[in-house]
Amino acid sequence: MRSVNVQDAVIGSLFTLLGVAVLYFSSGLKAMPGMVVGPGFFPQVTGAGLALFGAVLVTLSLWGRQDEAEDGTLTTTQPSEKPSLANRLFSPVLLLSILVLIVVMPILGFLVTTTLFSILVVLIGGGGLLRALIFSPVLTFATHALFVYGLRVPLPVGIWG
Amino acid sequence: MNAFVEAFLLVFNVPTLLVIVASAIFGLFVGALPGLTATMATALLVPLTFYMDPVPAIAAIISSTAMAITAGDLPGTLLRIPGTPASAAYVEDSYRMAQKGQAGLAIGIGVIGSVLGGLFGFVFLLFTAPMLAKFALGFSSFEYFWLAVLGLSCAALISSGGVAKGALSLLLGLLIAQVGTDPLTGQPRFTFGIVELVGGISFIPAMIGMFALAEVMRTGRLFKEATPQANVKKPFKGVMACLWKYRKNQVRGSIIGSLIGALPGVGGDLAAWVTYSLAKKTSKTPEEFGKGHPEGLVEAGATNNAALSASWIPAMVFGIPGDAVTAIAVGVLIMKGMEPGPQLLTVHPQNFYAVMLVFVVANLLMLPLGYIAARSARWIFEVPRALLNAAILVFCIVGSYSINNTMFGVTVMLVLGIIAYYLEAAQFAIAPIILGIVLGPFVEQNFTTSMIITNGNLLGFFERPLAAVLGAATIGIWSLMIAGSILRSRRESALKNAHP
Repeated sequence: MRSVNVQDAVIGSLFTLLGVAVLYFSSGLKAMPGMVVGPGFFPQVTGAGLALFGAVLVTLSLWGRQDEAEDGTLTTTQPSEKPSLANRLFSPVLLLSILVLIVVMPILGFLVTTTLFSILVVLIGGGGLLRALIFSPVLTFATHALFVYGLRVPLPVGIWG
Repeated sequence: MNAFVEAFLLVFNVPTLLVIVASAIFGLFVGALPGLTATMATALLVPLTFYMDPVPAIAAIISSTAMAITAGDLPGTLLRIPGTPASAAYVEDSYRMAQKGQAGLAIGIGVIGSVLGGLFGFVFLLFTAPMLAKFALGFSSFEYFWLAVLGLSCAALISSGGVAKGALSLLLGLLIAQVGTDPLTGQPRFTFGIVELVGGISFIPAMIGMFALAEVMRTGRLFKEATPQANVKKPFKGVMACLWKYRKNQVRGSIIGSLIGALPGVGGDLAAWVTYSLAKKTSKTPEEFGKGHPEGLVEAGATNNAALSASWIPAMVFGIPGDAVTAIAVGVLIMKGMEPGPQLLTVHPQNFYAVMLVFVVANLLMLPLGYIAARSARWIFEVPRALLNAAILVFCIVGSYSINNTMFGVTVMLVLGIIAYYLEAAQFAIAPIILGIVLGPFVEQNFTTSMIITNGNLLGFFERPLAAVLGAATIGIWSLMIAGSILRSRRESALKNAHP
């Protein structure tokens, strides 16, 4: 019995849709008069390729073909037992915190936002509160000094500026 | 001769040497940490190189990469976690040697073998690159287009995951490169009214997100338990005798590594796998491979760094990188106004020779730093992962921000990091995406120029002899890979039908 690779089927479908969307948007990019190729030509080739190989991936996944991964992939220490709640929440909380940082940093400035962000990352990584409270300000001020005074990068100062 | 003297002065000054040593230590630290790779070390360094002169900037990348790749043998030997895909080829042998109490010998073979292989690759690069550059001066847009497509095709087709996934990774990279203003007409493409997108998607936040953020997400709270019981006592003991015993493997590994590494788009990862299998096939004791035998380790270890040096040949001579690291380096070269290509060697040879000298210094630095790393492996492994994650992420954010001094770079890093995380979980290779982003404008420019020259006639792409050969090779490789895929598929179906 064939087993359908759902993950590949979904990703393949998304790539096919992306390819079709690229074809649609690039068809609106017209060449200048007298030119054989316009700004839409290369994107059209790319869009067609995405749609084609996306469809191939969907077909292969529906046939239940195993991926052809070579042994060159890295071995990671995947735990054999079910990951804990903290492990499962790590990535979503991390991504959400970066999203919040993008919004908040221009308002609260680099020093405050990064210190809070670093405390959160250490905590969700299982580093403990004391370590987080000692390490985060040191990391933030060292990075600030390197980029602002060393490399002359104007990091956001927010409402304190 | 003047070029050599100028190159010497460009490298042997206090700031550049400090950059080389600091980057090497950084690369060693990142490479030795389980789960963190040489590509990540390079990705985190790039924002700093933005503010350096061209030669120190490239020196930082070369020394950190070379050191991170060599240091990647440490977690491979002591924890059975290979630092790079290349070192995965021989991790079973090095780990078994450590289990037998020969950790010092295994690490020593890795370090000294890498130094010798790297120096061989340097000599190969020194002699072949100028010849190739003179040859490349006669290239037109047709040859450059096919060479770039050939390189990209090889990178996509040999990547893990298979033909379809490799091709999709590459096409995604090419698509990302098309966002922004069209180079020919100045029309905005795929910007959707977002002002920040008009300038295009910078490869620096893209690569930081894809390699560093995705890696933190993947390894976040793992790697806690497996630390070695003690530091390696006598690194390098008995290494020279072992290398002499397997000198043929050392030389063959270096030669094959240089040749494979020099192929556009192939890079070094494949080379170590090829030479490890070759060593096993030609060995008098093939049954010992995988059980802690040093023969394959010597050959594949030498291949590793020889290929690393040689992979700079297509990057420097044609501007076509062989792997993710050289793709990042090509991006830095372009950013620094040192446009890679034959002109780099013919018009500015001092810059080329300076890069060569950096290779020598970085390879020689591996000896003392590799020794120290082996002695202090335990302490490196015991750095708390939670603190490390925080430091990496803060650096990712500041690095992505500092490219244009806007939070848009951080947004790009976040979005592409998430995409890379999910794609990698589904066995898509990330290197072809980066190669596509870096080489996309180059491919498009040469394609468009060629189309204008031939007045839209695609057969015109095969009129020049070399272009025809490169074009036929590209089409041939795709046909072979697709045919192979279909045949494998049929064989699997036949087997399933025979044994339902």
